[in-house]
Amino acid sequence: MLARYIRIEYKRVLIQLCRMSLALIMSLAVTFGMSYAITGIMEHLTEQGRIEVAMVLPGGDEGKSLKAFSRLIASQKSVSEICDIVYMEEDRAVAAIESGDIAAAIIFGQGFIHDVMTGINTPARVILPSHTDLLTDTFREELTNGVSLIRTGEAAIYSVTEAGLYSYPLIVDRADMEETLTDLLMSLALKRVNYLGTEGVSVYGGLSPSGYFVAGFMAFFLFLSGISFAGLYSAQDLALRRSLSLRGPGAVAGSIIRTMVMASVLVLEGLVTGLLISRTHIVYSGSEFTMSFGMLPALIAASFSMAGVFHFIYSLSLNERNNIMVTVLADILMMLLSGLIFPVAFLPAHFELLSRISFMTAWRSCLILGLMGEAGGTAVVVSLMIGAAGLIGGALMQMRRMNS
Amino acid sequence: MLEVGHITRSYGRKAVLRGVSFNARPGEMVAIIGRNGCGKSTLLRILAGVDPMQKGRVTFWGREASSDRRLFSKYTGFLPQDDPLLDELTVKDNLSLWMKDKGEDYREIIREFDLEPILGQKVSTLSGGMKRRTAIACACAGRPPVLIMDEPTSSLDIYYKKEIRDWMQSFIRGNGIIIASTHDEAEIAESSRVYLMEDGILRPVR
Repeated sequence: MLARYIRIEYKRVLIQLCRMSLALIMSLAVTFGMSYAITGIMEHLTEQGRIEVAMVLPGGDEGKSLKAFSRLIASQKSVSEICDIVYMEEDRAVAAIESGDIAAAIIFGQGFIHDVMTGINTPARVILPSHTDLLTDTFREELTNGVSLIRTGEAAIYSVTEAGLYSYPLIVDRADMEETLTDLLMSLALKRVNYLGTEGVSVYGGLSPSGYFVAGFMAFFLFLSGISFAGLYSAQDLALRRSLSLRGPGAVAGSIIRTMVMASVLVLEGLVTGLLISRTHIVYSGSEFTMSFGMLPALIAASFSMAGVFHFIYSLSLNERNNIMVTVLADILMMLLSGLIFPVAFLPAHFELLSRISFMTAWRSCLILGLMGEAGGTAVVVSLMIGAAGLIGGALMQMRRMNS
Repeated sequence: MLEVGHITRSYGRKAVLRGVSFNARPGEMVAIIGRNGCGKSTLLRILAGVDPMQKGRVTFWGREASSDRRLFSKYTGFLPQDDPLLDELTVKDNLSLWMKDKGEDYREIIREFDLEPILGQKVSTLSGGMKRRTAIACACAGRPPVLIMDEPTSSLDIYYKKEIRDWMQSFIRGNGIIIASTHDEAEIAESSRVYLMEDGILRPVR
């Protein structure tokens, strides 16, 4: 009896899949297209062109010294990667900022070097547009960081000088001491690689952009494909299961069987989808997606989890149309919250909490772990727990309906 | 013989069945009539073992099924009001949920209900009468001596009603027991005994 029942369940699921095949193919195409488009957008957003920064220098020898100094700054890797230095008059620089031709202007007044050497500390002016983009903000942060370093160094030199003048006897010439400290400061301050770590931080975790988005949209597509299971839950199905309960599986056994059948079909869909995407050889942000069978345990966990959720949702209502609507809306909402459109790091702060508790986040993380070749992890455990909760909840709903 | 004693069932605070008792012997058809929602379907589901009873007992030929629920599946076949068939599957697939699709029992059922021509057809393509015929065939899997039928001829045209009623009479003549809820006057007339369900109590009418 049990074997016949399981066979019939698989047959029903496959019939539903065929019925929904056109919708599934279209949703796969749309999902795949969205995934590809969004990786392109993310690539564009994260790899912007360089900005131009204007330097306005005073005339004469001071200007020449400052130009040499600015060339030294511009040659630093952290600066040269994001901006080019151009030299112009102040009026032209302000006009260029207003027109958007340059991102910032640094204006050194006449007597700047003299003032620095005599301790007057006349500041250089930095002009930025009122609305800045990501690169200009980055430039401003680096400039502020660099200035802060110099200020700190300067304070240190003054402190040592005062200590030498008022607290401890100097055994070297004061001017020599200040020159040595200045050289030390400049050599440390300008070696920005000492302060900028080499560890890369990516919103994609340890994955390539292609892997990140393919994992996400695979989770999205698999959940969307659950609309093909909605037809399994109907008044007829309930009437049959009620009648069958004495001869065959009851509410609990029936729920387990159905959830496992749905999960196994989702695993198959995931494998086929992954292999299809691999075969297209389409490049996402410079990398191709390659399906790995090491992903299977994670795929099984995510599929079981989704199947449990389907079982619960669809057991609440015996109306196929309602069930499909709920699934589609839930999928879209979870997709937005879980960072599938934009990574979570780019979402507003209050969305981040919702993102953390979204089921899609767990499923995506599960598939990401799978793509990275990791079989375990918190996401897998959470996914399994979600699936178990859905299965139990659905079984209780089925029992309640069968006894009513 | 079927003995039903003091069956009680409530849904929350609402008492649906209050000490329902009756008997039925082989060769009898017992009709249960009453308003919609009076508890007829609940009683039939309890007799088929699908719903639990809160108090009372059901005995089949001296064996109490209340303590051994497997007796329900051994002694009864149940035809609920909604045909327990899956539209997207064929008649053969639906039958296979109830019996192995091999063996004498299966072939006899196919012959008796004339299902051979429609075995490969999807249930969704069948007429109401043929669906009901298929559902009764499923209920007869295992040749139970007692059939519990909830409005067996509802929504059928007069021809299929007569066909089903004729079959029910042949089942009775074969010493079977039928317990059926019905609103159909012809079924009521052909029944051995008739009970009226009212306020959770079963009263004999005839």
